[in-house]
Amino acid sequence: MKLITTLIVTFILNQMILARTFGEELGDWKIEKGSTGYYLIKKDLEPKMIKVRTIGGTPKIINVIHKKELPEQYVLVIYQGGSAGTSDIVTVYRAIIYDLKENKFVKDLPYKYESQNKKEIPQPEWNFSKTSIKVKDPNNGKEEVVSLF
Amino acid sequence: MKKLIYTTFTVLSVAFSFYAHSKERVYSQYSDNTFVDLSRIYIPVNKSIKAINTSTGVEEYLKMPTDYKVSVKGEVNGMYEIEVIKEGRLEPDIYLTSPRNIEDGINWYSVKGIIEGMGAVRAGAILKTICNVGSPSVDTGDATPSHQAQSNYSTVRNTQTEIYIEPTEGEYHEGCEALAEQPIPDSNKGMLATCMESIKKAITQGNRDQYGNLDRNKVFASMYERLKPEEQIFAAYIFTGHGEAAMWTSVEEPGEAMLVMKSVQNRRITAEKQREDKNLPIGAENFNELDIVLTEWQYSMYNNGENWDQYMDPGISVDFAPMIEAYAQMTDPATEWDPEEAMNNVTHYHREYVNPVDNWAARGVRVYPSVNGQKLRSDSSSGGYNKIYYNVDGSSNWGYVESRETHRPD
Repeated sequence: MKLITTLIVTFILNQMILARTFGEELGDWKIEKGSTGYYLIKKDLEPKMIKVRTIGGTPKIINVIHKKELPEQYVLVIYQGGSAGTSDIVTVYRAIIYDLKENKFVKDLPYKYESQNKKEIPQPEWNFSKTSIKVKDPNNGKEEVVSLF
Repeated sequence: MKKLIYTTFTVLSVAFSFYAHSKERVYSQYSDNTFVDLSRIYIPVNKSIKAINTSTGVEEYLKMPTDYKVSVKGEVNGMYEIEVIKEGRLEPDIYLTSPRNIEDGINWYSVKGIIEGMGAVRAGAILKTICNVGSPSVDTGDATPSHQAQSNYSTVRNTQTEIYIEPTEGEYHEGCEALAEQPIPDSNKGMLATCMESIKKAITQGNRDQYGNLDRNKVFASMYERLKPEEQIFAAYIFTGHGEAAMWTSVEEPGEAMLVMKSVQNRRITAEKQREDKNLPIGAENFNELDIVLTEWQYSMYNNGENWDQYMDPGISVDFAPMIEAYAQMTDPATEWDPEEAMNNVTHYHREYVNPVDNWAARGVRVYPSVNGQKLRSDSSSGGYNKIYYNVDGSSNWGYVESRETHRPD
């Protein structure tokens, strides 16, 4: 009886693991420091790596999310890209879009800014369509367009 | 002879597998007591290498017969970080590749030649000790929080019109010809005040929105487009000194703005040094102080919604005399900072009342400066409002520059 229970539990756990796509959970990712910067690493057997941006301090992963406006295969790995400033410390959050189906990085984009002094900072404007993402950062006027297919 | 070369080649190849890893460098053992810092040499590739472009995360091939040279800069997650020179030009991105690819793919015969050509290696000059960052001191000083400088400008617009006449190519804007003489003599300081007015007109003309407000992105871009390089540097120092420290700076006591300017200068030197370390091709444009101050979020006065426009608007009268004095003294080689070495590495300060996230300041070392024998009032340990640091980014110092990707026009 005990053996059967163990087998059933093992089977269920296996099904749970197989049911999800690797990369869609926080634990599937890590950030490590190299000599030339910090890297976001997807913990595959053959790791996928991309350099992340920091404006000061050590970056860290905050969350892995899926946007309902995007096809299922894309996740956003949100990371905190450090903080900087003299009279107001601003913390930068960025999002790396990852294509789980193709298993590749798509783009690293500004996601959110936070002022420690609670000042209102213009936020990056994200616009989704079926085939692309447009992100405009009012702080520097830069607009980036990412084709999804 | 061929046998000797082959033997040497083999010894070196084997030696490579005994890498000595440090936290920041990758070394190759050259002889019993000599290790070569591989981050300092570029080695020809003689076999196609698969590598990940770290900016895109995409795998690429450094394919033969294209001329590639690589330099191993460090290690992360079992991969080597490499810089790549493709047909004589440094690729802008760092690549990652497996140690095996490096071992198999580079031309070891060339390595021997390069190493033997480096007298400095034999003298031990290339071998660096990687210093640990010291612990921060704890400060309990009484701080008086202050926001961006509010003083030294009139809040009432004068009737000055924004007529900007572009100077003939190669010429300075009016008054800025005084920048050609360094150190700045007292007799030229009046001209530099005129220069600042010319600069304000130059960078703002035609850069207002429908409500008459200055367009931040356009003004910042105009600082590159319309100013001579010497004027860009001068404007960067004066605007930043004023925006960050005007309230506590006077012609008689310019030290507070000098500290701000010193941090700008140190960052520029570090950024430039890091650029040189990358062995960028001749002709690549240097970083300047404007790149440093316009790098997003670093000097808070330039943030969207802060008071930068009040200092740059030609319709608002600002007394820049204290800043010109600070600039003149800061750029004068006779100026004495104490402690000198620490002050040559100061890159960061922040107000007492803010706390950097992730506590980057804790990695820096506090410094309590004086200039020309005068203690700076801004130091929080003396009841001032600033915490001042060096070595914020460890021994490699701080050279983060991003403005080229944002405000500097293509």
